[in-house]
Amino acid sequence: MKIVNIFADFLYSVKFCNNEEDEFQRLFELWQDVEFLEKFFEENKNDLQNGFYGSISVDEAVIRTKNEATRLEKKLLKIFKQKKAGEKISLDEMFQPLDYTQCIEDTLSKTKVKGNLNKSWLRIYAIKVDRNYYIVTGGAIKLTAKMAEREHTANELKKLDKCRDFLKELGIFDAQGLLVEL
Amino acid sequence: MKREEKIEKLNKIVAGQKSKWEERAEFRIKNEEWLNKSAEIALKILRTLRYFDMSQAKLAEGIGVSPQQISKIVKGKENLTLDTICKIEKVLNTELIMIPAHYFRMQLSEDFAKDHFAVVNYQKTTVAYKRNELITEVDNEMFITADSQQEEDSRQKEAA
Repeated sequence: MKIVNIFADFLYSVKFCNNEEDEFQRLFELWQDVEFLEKFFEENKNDLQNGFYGSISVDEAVIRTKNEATRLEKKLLKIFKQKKAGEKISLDEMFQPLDYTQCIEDTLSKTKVKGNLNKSWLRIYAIKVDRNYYIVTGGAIKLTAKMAEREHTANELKKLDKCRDFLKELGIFDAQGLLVEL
Repeated sequence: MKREEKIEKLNKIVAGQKSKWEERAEFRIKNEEWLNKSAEIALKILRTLRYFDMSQAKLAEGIGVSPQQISKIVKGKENLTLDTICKIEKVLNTELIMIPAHYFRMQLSEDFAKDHFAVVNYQKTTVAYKRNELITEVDNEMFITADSQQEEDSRQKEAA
């Protein structure tokens, strides 16, 4: 596992050795990949059509995901440019604690970022290193209430833990930790 | 551990390694229009293949390209040529893109008309919209002209 820089020294991403792309880049490539999205929504049709999001066709879900990913990417790029231009930008407003029983002030906590829509299924997961410092560990299209309910989201939980352990091994952080979701 | 200490250690680990996300994101935003169209075509191809239980390899064989080329097309990230689109349409026996009716119907919103000077050509008739003119009346008139002209064309063809 490696860690690479995304935004000038305040947003980082994990890069797994078997992948060419870091997790942050891989996510946005995947969310624009029609073949991946069509297959994913076919395989998760039951969650898509009987769950929290009501009844949405596979075609509609593919286009909706792609459009939402574009909006999220534009928002992040705008933040990046504002930061480059010297504006004071806070990532803390974007990232929410993954577990609401956690305090967002804790370091190494699990966090998430949601897509822009009200009922968005896009998630970016990250470890909060400190105020305004985050390491993205992955992301998912979350169609169920709990992450542990499906393999692909449960795997994201494992990646969050793996990254936190990696950072602890390197002696960077205290024992306390917090995982966050964008 | 102090914040500064943590950040310093983290930056040492990163050691200048940068994600290519920004470069890719800029490309996607710059090329958004054709990428959206490419994605819609890719989706239609994939849904048709699934409906007919046809493999990508079979489609590749039908249009005479490699399976790798089809794999790129169905990801929705290829700037397709009309030639390729027509070949795929033939093999799948379906329309991937549709051009609207042969005569030109221009639908302008009132806000657009207020801010622009628009000229619409239909055969030998030119209809001009001037700034602040009431668009709906002119618009309807043009549609009537266009429809009447089409009806006249059909009558002449039948008579011939």
